[in-house]
Amino acid sequence: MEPLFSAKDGKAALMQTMLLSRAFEEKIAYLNESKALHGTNHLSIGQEACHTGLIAALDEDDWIIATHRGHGFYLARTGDISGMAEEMYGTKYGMCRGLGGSMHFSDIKNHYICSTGIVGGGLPIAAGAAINLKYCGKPGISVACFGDGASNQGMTLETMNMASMMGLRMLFFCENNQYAVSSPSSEFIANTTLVKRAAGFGIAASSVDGNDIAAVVKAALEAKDYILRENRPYFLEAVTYRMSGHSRSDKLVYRTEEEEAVWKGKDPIMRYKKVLIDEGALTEEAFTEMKKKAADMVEDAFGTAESHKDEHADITDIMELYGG
Amino acid sequence: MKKTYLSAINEALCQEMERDDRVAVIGEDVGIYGGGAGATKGLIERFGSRRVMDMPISETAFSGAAVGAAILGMRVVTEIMFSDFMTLVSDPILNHAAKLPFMSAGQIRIPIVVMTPLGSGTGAAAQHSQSPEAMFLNTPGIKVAAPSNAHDAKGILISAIRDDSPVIFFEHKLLYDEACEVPDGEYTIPLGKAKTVRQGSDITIIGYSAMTGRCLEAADMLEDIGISAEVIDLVSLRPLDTETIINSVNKTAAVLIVTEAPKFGAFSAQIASVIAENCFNRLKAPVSRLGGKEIPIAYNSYIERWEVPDAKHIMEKAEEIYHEKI
Repeated sequence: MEPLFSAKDGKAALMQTMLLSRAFEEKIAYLNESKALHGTNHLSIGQEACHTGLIAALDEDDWIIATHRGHGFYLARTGDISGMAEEMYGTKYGMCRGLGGSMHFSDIKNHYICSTGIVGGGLPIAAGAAINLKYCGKPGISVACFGDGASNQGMTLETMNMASMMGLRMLFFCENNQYAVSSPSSEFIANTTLVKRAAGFGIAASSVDGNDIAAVVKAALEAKDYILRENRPYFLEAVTYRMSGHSRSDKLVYRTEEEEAVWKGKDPIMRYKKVLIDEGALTEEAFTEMKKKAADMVEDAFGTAESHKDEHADITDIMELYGG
Repeated sequence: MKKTYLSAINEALCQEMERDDRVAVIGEDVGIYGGGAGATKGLIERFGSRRVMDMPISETAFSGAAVGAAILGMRVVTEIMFSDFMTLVSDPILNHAAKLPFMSAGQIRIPIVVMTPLGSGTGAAAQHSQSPEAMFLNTPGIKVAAPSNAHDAKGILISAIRDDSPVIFFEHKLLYDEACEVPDGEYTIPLGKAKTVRQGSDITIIGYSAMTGRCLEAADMLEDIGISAEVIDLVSLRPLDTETIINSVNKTAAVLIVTEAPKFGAFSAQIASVIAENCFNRLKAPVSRLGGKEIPIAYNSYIERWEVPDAKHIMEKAEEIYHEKI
């Protein structure tokens, strides 16, 4: 497995991670089309700057809970492409031995607690992780990732109150990708300025262009500094766009091609590529090479996983996980 | 020494917190107030607010926080003031605590105990009197206990705190003041083991929580009319001690299962199924169940009492079954 990835690894690492995430998701989209995978999944194409930028700002001590749209967070945190591909195929070599699947990645040793399929369900648990850090005197922060959809869950608001009241070292990382399945956040969030909600709970907050990875890294680092310095939670909204559909069954009937084209023009990978080329940190050739590397790694991982697709976890072993 | 059910629970919490500093209590009014009924009295004075955490009225958030804190290594007891409010903790408990250990292929362990009182009889009416245990018994990954007396309450709560799985510990409000002999030291009662609390040969009567006492009373009344009833107190509902049930019913060949919860979909149906599957050839009378009425618990004290089986109902039903035996 790749070592934990960090902002200190530099710009190339950020780009390579975004490209890996994109390649992974495009492979899944292809496998969805060809009906090669068993279940549903939720792609984060277009949101790479959010998950990559956030994870780059975290340290080994920090804990994270991500969402049902969690492949990118997991990949950036663990580098475990092979475990992910195996899990997508449901094989016994997946990081959760094929029992969790796309929505339930987990890697405790890398402090990636879980992805959760319950919208908003990760927030209270992340607060519990922060309670543990605080009461056991451990370093680090706890990060709850959620989306604009989860911002309307009661438990999200309950958790914001609790984290503020208790002074928890917790980052509320809201990826506002504009849609909760088909419901646009512009219509379904009463006050679309989410940072104002945070202010209502006495939580410091800011909003960042979630398609600008340098801005996300900077905002996340500042948020983390604030949390550690003040022993207070922080709310960071990353404004982005879910370029793919909600899940594999989504026909995208609720939005226009014009809107999609506007956001395609803000593709976080293309934007960062331009930034790096403009400042002389990247060449076209190097970019093509990185893209190829990402595609090769993904192909390798899926090729192996596909060859294992009939190898499920041992039934006796999995029953032993429960014991009553 | 005789101790009440409530003080036995308090003693279990206190001794476990003393023994293991990973044990913490999270809940509404669990601090200086001492918990909804008094179960956490004195804990904050002894262990401080670091380990006894008062929470806002946000059951979903703080029960989820209990899950998160447990994932990182604490052992958390969380109190839900009335078990009717368990609907509010269903996401953290049923979707996360029950499933994460499995979904993560064993990477995650969630040693939490959800303590909550169920049951009617206090005039608290429909939203503070339900017996909702059946709602939590069809999700693998959760253990459920419902002790009927102070001795078992202490022992099984200690087991629950030491267990690596999430455990729901159903107390009963009417039992809080009932006392029996409770050892001072720490001891455990295993989760998943029922108790035969009275030996008999003509019929088996099965109960748990407050119904156990009523079953025993009924057994006394049955003895007066020459019927020998065996009484089983389940203590744990999941895992379920099927062996004790099957052995007893194979011996008596007749059974009555009693719940306070409404009969439709009650946990007694699960026990009836176990008996039908395992004792069919031994039974000399149909498997029989008694439960609460199919309405919410009423405020009016007469109606409230009428809704739930009492010793006389149990006795009459058992007598009827006894006479049906072929």
